[in-house]
Formats: sequence, structure tokens, C-alpha cells
Amino acid sequence: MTHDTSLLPARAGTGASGPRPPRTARRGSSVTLLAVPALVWYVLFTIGPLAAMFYISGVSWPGMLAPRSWAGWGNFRTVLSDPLFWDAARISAVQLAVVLPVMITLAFLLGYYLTLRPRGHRVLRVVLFTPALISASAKAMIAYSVLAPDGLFNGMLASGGLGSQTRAWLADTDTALACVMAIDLWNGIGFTAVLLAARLGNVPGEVYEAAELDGAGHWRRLWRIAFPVTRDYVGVVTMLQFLWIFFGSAQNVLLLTQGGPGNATTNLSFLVYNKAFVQSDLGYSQAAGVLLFLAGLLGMLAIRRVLRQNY
Amino acid sequence: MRRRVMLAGTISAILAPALSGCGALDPGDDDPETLVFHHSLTAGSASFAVYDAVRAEFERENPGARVKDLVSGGTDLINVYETARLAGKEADVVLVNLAEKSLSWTDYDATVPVGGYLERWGLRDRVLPQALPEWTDAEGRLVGFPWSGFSWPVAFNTRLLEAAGVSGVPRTAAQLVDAADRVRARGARGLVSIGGNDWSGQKLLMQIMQAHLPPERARRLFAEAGFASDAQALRGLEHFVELRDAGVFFDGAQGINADSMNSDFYTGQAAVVSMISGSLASVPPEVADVVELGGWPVPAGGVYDKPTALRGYTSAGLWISPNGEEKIDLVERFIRHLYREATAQRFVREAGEVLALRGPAESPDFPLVAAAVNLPESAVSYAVLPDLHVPPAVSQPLIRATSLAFTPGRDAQSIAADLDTAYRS
Repeated sequence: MTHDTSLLPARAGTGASGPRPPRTARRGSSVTLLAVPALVWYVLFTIGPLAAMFYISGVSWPGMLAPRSWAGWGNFRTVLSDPLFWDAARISAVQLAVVLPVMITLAFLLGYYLTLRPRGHRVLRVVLFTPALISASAKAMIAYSVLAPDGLFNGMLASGGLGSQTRAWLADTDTALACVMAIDLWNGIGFTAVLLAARLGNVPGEVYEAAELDGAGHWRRLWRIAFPVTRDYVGVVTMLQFLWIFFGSAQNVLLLTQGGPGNATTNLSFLVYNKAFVQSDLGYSQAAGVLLFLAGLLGMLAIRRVLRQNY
Repeated sequence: MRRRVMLAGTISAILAPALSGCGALDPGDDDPETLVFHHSLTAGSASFAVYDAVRAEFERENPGARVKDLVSGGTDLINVYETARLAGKEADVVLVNLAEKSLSWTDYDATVPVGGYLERWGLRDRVLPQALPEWTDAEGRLVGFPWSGFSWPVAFNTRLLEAAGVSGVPRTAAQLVDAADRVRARGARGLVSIGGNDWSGQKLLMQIMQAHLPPERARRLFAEAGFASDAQALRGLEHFVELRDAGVFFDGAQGINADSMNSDFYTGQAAVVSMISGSLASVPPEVADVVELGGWPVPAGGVYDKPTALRGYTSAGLWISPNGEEKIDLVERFIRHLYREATAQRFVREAGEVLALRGPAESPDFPLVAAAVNLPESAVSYAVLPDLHVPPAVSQPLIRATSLAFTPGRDAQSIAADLDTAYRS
């Protein structure tokens, strides 16, 4: 059974001063009036671009200034028969399969640890949140200075007697993608942990105390109490990170590797950007964008299904 | 309360579109006495300082006329201009290079052909004759007024070479490998620092490949690909692999970019770099004093009998937009002002620019730039610059393929296949 909470204020109002439908209607229209700019904005700048993406995916458009012609399903056929698209899809899948579970699990553990208020937990929160306060280009500069051939990481390896292990981390086909994923993780774990800690902090302490009396240790409290109680919220955070990795990680790729070496770090979101703004193939780009959109939608539904509240 | 709500709704309804209208950020300007100039000269640079003074001088000499700057960084400029053009709000004059997307601007009416204006304004004699063909497209249209060019020699730090026991700058591939052995024996990371991860490495790879590739064939391959099935291209790439595997390039060259390469040379860590004149202008005096310029050493039995360098006049040109054509009198005055000998001389002398205009090419404060421009043809041969031939959509994938070429273990056939793949990406 579900409760329709939207009815509660109306009932409260009825009990307090009797039925006053005209005033409620006036208030409703006022609220609607206030929402009009936001709705117009939403339609213009969210629904509009989405419709444009579907339209452009059906045209042949070799550059923003070039004339365009209707291509039907031609762009989709090109995209689906392009080995580069499938390579990019594989890279995106690897990114998601590695980064998302690692990030959410570690962030959840860290978030739980923060709720225990260990010594210095306030400083720890700030430290964990720091990557979110650094601009993307500054983060890329940091990553480059660490991972460049003459960078900090190779310097540490060399001074630790591991000089033979040094390499051009961002320009090696064996390590470039791993570096991008590591940066995604560094970027997201702390921020996600702070978000999760905010929710975990609201779990009633009595529940933990009761579990402790029953002999449950931290590990069991974490996975048998904290996780089930916050499962819905973990789902939301997972969706947000899924969207960022799937749609937004072109940013790190662009700043650090430009999709290279070769195409070793060209994921789907970078492919969409690169085809549109660098290679001037807008039809291909938006056809890939539509496929990305549909895959994103399916991914969100899957996450929602797996992590929905089940009590 | 209701009035307040109505007021809030009205204000937000008015402000939202007004704030997003970005009137102040509009790149175009309909005022006939305001010329919008789109360029990438950044405040703080020597070129900007000269431009700033020249602009002030133009405004003084043309009372009522105003030049409004629109500055975009490097590759962003092209996209910013194109999107503004779509809205009919593009700048009147654009200063940008001739490469990649700008190659098709005239075809798409994003800019207007300027050959007629060059003649009518009597400016043809101001342009170096060799610059005009580079700015003329396949249909014979002059797409922009040539402005600046470049010389791209190889810079040798003779102090580092002498310290390693290398007498004289290498002129042959064998001498280059010997020099690499010697500097490595002294603990260096390699002989040649190169941005194997960006455009600088791509140019050098193409230049080295041309050791066995005649110019006509090189032009065709750059335009159409087919490296893996071309015996001469493969031979050139095999030569590149020999040099790479002999340790000529810095360790990890595939991960280095042009900024790191420049830094290696400016700080005296790299003995050799292939460096464009714009970067030579920034070599510190203590390093410049011991630098000798030349070409890239060539192998025995190659196409070129002298070391090779690159040069061109496509670094920047003055393009006129359809908006600019509507105030062509003002545009004419502005371009005439820039094309004046005195103005050009300031850019050469005070900013170390290599201009595509006739006049003095002496830059006393930038000795390496002057030396690069005046490299005698008896000392170097000029290889084909890929930029004018590589299709716009291929440039970036080609740079990514370059990084693979600098990766140890990759043979000539694989590199050729990577280059061909870039043309299909």
C-alpha cells in the first residue's frame, strides 16, 4: 500500500479552516505562473536539443557550415558498421564495469567510516571533497605532471629502484585507459563518499545499537543494516556516477589523451564530441549520440531496478 | 501577496531570456564604424603588445573608427567563428591559420574570396610571391590575405653536443645515431626531444618519412593515404623506426607534448629539437647563444641530399567575413594599416614574427628567428608540409596515430597501417 503524500497539506488545510477551493485554485495558478519561466526554459534547452539530436542523426551534415541533406538511417548504418564505434563502446563498457562498482563500493565504505566520526573526520571530509573543488583543467594538469614520462610517478619509481618499470603512462596503449579510469576514481570516490555519508548519518543510531547488542560487527552492520536502509539513495548516487562516466568522461579524455594513443582511450562520449567538433561529421556524431542516449536510458533503468528500495 | 507573486513571475520571465541573450557577448557588431577583429593573440605576448599599439594607432588615424577584439584560443577560434557565422553574427575580419576546417570556409561562404580586393587595393606587391599560391585554393580563389608564416628548422645545442664529444652538427642519419649514442653515454634521456603525442611529433614523423618519398608522392599520400601499400613510404617509415630504436628520440617520446619538448630545450636538457620559428623566439638568450640551426639529417640514398626543414606561409591570414564585406571600406582601411611596411616591421622586429609580406626580415632581438628565416637553400632542402594536403577530418586521428609510431616495438608496417586507419577514423 502506498500513501499519496501530496494529499496531506490539503487535508491539514481542510481541518484547520474549512474548505476554501477558490483560494487553493488561485494559489495553484500563482504557482503555475512562477513555474512558467522554468518550464519554457526546460522545453527550449532540454527537450529542444534532445529533439535536435534525433533530427541531426538523420541528416548528412559534414560540418556546421556545410549544407545538409536527409540521410534517413544512413548515419546509423555507418555508425553500426564502423569498427571505431564498437571499439569505443567496448572502452566505455570497460570504464563502467571497472569504475562504477569500485567507486560506489569504496565510497560507501568511506561514507560509513565518516559516520563513525573517527578522529579528524572533519578534516577527512574536506580532503575527500577536495577533487570536486578543483577545475577539470587543473586536475588534468595535475594528472599530466604525475603521469608524464618525466613526471612524479616515474620519478618515484626510479628513485625506488624500479626504473625499468617507468613508461609514458598516458601514451602507452596498455596503460592509458587505466590512467583515465584511475583519474575518474580519484575524482569521484571522495565526493561520492561525502554524499553517501550525509545519508548514512540519518540512519537511526538505535538500529546500530540494537545490532551491536546482537553481536553484529562493523562489517555486518554495514552490509546488513546501513546498505539496505540506504539502498535507494545508493541507487541515486550510482545513477549520477553512471551518467558522469558514460556521458561526461570525454572531458578527461580530451584533456589528457585526446582519445589516443591510437584510439586506445576513445570512448563513446569522446567519439561523439570528436566526430562533431573535430572531424565535422555531425550526422555520425548525433547518430552515435542517440545510441548513447538509449544505452544510458537502459543503464539507468537497470540501476534503478537493481538498487530500488525493497522493503 | 498575489501582486508580489505576479511581479516575481514577470521579472523572472523577462530576466531569463534577457540574461541568456548575451547582448554584450555578441561577436558581431552592426555599427559601420566598429570593426570586429577575431584573433588568438593573447594578452602578455609580444605579438599582442605590438598589435595593441597598432590598433591604437589605427583608431587615432581614423577618428570614429573602433576595433573591437574578439579573442579565442587556438583551435577554439575556428569553432567559435563557425557557430557565430551560423547565427550571422561572425566577426568582420578573422586572423587564423589555413589548415583543417578553415580550408573549406570559402566553399561554404563563411568567408569571401579576397583576390579582387588584393588587386583593387593595390596590395599584391606587398605579399611575398611564394605566399600567394599557398593561400589560393584549387579553384584559383585567394581565400585570405597572407599575414604570417613560419620556418621550421632543427635546432642544435652545440654546447651539449660538444660536451658529449660530438663535433659539428649531424648532417646525416649515421651522424645522428652516433650523436645519440654519445649523449646517452653521458646519461641523457636521448638526443632529440619531440612531442610525440601531438602535432610537433606528427610533423617530424612525416618529415622523416619523406627521406625516401618524392614530394609529389608525399602530397598524394597525405591527401589520400595508402601508406601501407606504398614501398617508398614504408622505406621512409623503416628509416624512422631505425632512428627510434637507435635511441635518437627521448625516452617516452610518445607521451611528450610540444610544451615539454620546448621546456627540455629552453632549460638545456635536450641537445636537439625540431622547432618552429614561433617557439624559437622564446629560447632564452643563454641557450640561443650556443644554438646552431640546420635541417633534419638525411640517410644515404634518400630523396634529399641535404638535411630537410619545413616552411610555409599559412600560420595566419586575414580572412574577410560576409559581415565584414558589408563594411568593406572600414575593412580596407584596417588591412591597409596592417599591411603598411612600418606596421609589418614592428611585428618582425618587436615580436619576432615571420611575415608573408615584403620588407625587412631582420629581428635583432630574436636572432634564432632571423637565422631560421634566412637558412640558405644551400644548407637545407624543404620537405612537403602535410597541413595543406591532409583532409581536415583526418588531422586529429593522424596525431593519435603518431603517438603509436613513437612507441618502441612498433614496426614500419604497423605504423603505416595506423596512419591509414586514421584516414578511416
